[in-house]
Amino acid sequence: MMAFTSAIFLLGGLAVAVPLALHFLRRKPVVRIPFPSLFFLRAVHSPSSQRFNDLKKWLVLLLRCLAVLALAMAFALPFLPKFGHAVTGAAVILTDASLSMQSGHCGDVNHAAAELVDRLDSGTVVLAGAVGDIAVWSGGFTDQRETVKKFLLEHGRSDTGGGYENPLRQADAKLRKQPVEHRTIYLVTDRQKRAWKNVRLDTPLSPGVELRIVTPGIPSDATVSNTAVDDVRVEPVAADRRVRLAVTLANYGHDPVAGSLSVQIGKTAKNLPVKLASAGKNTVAVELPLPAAGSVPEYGQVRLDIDDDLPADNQYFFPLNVRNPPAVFLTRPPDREPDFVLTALVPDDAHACVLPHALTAATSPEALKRADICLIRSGFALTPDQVAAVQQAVRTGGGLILTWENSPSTIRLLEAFGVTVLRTEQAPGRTLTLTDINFELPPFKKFTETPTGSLYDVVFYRSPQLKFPDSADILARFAPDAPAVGLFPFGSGTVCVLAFRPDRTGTDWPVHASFVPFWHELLKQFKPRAVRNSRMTASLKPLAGEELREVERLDRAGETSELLRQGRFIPAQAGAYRLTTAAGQKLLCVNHDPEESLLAYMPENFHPETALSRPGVPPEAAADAGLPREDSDSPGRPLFLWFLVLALLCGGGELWLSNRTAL
Amino acid sequence: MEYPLTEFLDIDLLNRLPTLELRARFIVDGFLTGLHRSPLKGSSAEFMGYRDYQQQDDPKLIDWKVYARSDRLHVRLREDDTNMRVYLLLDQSASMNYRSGDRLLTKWDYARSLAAALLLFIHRQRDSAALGFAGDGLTDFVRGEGSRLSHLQAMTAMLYRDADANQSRLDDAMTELAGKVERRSIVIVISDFYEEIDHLQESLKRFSHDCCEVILFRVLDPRELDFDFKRGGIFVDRESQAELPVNPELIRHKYARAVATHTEQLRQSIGRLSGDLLVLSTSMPPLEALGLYLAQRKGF
Repeated sequence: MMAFTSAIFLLGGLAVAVPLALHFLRRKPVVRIPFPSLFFLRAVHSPSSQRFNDLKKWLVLLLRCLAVLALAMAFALPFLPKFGHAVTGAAVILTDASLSMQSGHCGDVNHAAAELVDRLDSGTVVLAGAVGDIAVWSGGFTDQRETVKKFLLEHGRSDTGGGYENPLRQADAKLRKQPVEHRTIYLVTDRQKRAWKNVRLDTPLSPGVELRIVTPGIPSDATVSNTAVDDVRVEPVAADRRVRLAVTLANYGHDPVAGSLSVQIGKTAKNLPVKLASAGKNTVAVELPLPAAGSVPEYGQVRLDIDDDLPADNQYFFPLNVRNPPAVFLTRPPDREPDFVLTALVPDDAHACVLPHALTAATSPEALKRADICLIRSGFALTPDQVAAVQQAVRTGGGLILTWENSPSTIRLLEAFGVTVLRTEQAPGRTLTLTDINFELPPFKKFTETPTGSLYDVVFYRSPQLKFPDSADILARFAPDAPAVGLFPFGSGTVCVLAFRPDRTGTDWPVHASFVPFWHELLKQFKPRAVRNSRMTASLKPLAGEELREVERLDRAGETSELLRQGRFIPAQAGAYRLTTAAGQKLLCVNHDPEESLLAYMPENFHPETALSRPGVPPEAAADAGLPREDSDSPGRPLFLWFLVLALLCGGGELWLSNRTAL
Repeated sequence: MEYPLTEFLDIDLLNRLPTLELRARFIVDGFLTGLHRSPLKGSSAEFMGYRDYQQQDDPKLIDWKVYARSDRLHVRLREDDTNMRVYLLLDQSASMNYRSGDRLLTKWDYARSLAAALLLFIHRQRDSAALGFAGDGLTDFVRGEGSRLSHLQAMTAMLYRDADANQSRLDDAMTELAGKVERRSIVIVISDFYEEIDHLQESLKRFSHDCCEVILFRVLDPRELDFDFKRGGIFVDRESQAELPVNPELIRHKYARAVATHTEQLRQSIGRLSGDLLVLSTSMPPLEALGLYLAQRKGF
């Protein structure tokens, strides 16, 4: 049974009405023509030739119609389907194989994707792709689902971040070639869903191509809505003591959705219904009275209730009344890591929860002694003088937040504060979740008041097994003998140890839903040494220490297309950039979510073209694995040329015959 | 009632053709003085030659001077001029009453113009003319006596008639005319000649016995020559009212070939009689066509 890739062109077949109409409109009534004599006419007139001519006239009409129809069918790109059964849909299943998908979680995604293959309609052909820095495809569309499932289950994670724009465009292009009614792209990913959701808005897909985002472990995960509270802006409170919010709601999904939006500030709450169009953002203005003076909370909450969507993406905490922000000396995260902690501490310029100071090797011990809070992470190695200064600061009422890093300096620092490292990785190869959260104490107490994302679903990677001092309050555990968060006094100060890395390599903790409130509440445990009214601003994305000399945008063909700013660079668009620093060149892959962006040193044999559009499984390897070859995207044997030749033959025949026919 | 020749003739064009004459290609056997030489020996002063005396010869014709020189009796022959008789036969069938455009003459008008011009030329050269019409046989045949003006006027008046709506029998008319034609005359037939070639040949043969010169003017409308009809339909015969559905595009070339073949056969038939066939399209002015023909025609 023949099918068409661009069936819309079949409408061109309606043009067959033109020769038909002309044929019948040009038929004139028979007229009587006086003539002197039929002497010669009778001699040359042949009734059989007249009938033959009538036959030829119909044949000319038939050839004309056939030429038009064949041309229309040729442009509709006909083909003989390679699948033996009727194909009604085509699906591309993209699995997130980015760096954040650590081993165990990656397996969840792969299993979820494999299960998704089983749930597809029987008439749907499927293509799988694993998206890391590039997309690796299972081959071409196939109805051999076992081979696709095998590909999904066996494909591991990438060593780098995920760049999903190109894979999505590739998937869209592959789907366009499929002459089916339903074309769907399934993104199977972890909780870093916001980045994936942005795809729907930022990556235009062809009409008729539906994008669905699937999160493993969520009931009916194949069809969850794709909404999010994207942003909340708070206007300065005026004299009328009313809070005005501009809430940006995003619907990244294919269908319009309706739900309710609730805004809560302390005990004051307001609900209003909302309707979100598909693939768009809406800004909703909300106004509600400020609670009485003295009871104004430090932050409020916005929650979007959509029946079947993930709650984690539909909640947003916004700073409102941050009082006495402490001075925090914090170390810089590794260059390759986005700074989630800083995002939590400094949501925006107007509502800084802390006064951040960079804690570097050059920070003087004298300054550290006056720190309200020291946040030491990423295995930063303090000098002995700095260690002594931090200990003195904590003993004198300061606070210390120490996050895990599998490094000697971190281990030594932990031991300096009485924490023993039993094992650097308590469950190699597995992910961990919180099992024993103490909701009676801050900072988790707040989570009992507001329905945030389930903390039990937060995944942690490569966490150590620590032994806290006996005086420590264990706020959460990975296992009975593996505390996750511990809080204990040290002198007159407080020390908090997080047995995980608070970044995307250590956890998939949803930032706005619960990560920000956790840090806000955690900071409350540390009293600032003095009330300070000054405010500081900090860049949400601190630059690396190296000075940028040149930034070039690499387009898809790998050519330099654009010179951006010199010295300071904030990528405005997703893409690949070559950064030139004093130390050499780096490749910056910028995704729509800057938190997914990565800096990587460019290998010597780096070539942008191959890096950005490297094909997936090599044809030979695909054949060995029993997978369809890459070139099997074509839905079947194309018949375009056949119909084009047929159209030309009909057209030529029509010309030849019409010149020999009295029309 | 007057029947002026100007009804049929373009006087301006006629004035430009003053020297045209219709000369016979044979020796005219007439009595009147005219352009044509008589084979009879008469009282003319023109000496033609001698021949031996025969018993039935008038002794007055013996040239005695020759007898004195040669001792033999010879008869002196003298040349004598005489006039010519021209027979005009017009086909007045319904098929002649046709024209394909308003700017064209009907074939009948065209034939009448030709006949009028010829009558005028014949009158000018003091020859005598006879006129007849081919209808149901030979009709209204009138023979002019001499070259008097009254005869010209009488025959011109006969041209004031319409083409019949009936089918003519041209071959019968020609056969009938052949019985009336005197020896050594010119017979001019103006028609479209929609007749079987065999019948025409039979009729033409009758003129060969009388030492006549036969000139056929085949008058056809341009459409009859090229059959350039843009669309088909039911073609209706003007004579018989018979109908025939025809697609012109299909038969145009065959039709032209058939007309050409018929014309060529007619030309061969008339050529055997040393006559002429002139195919005239009504798109060409009749006097101009006649002038061209007479100018190139050679006679005695």
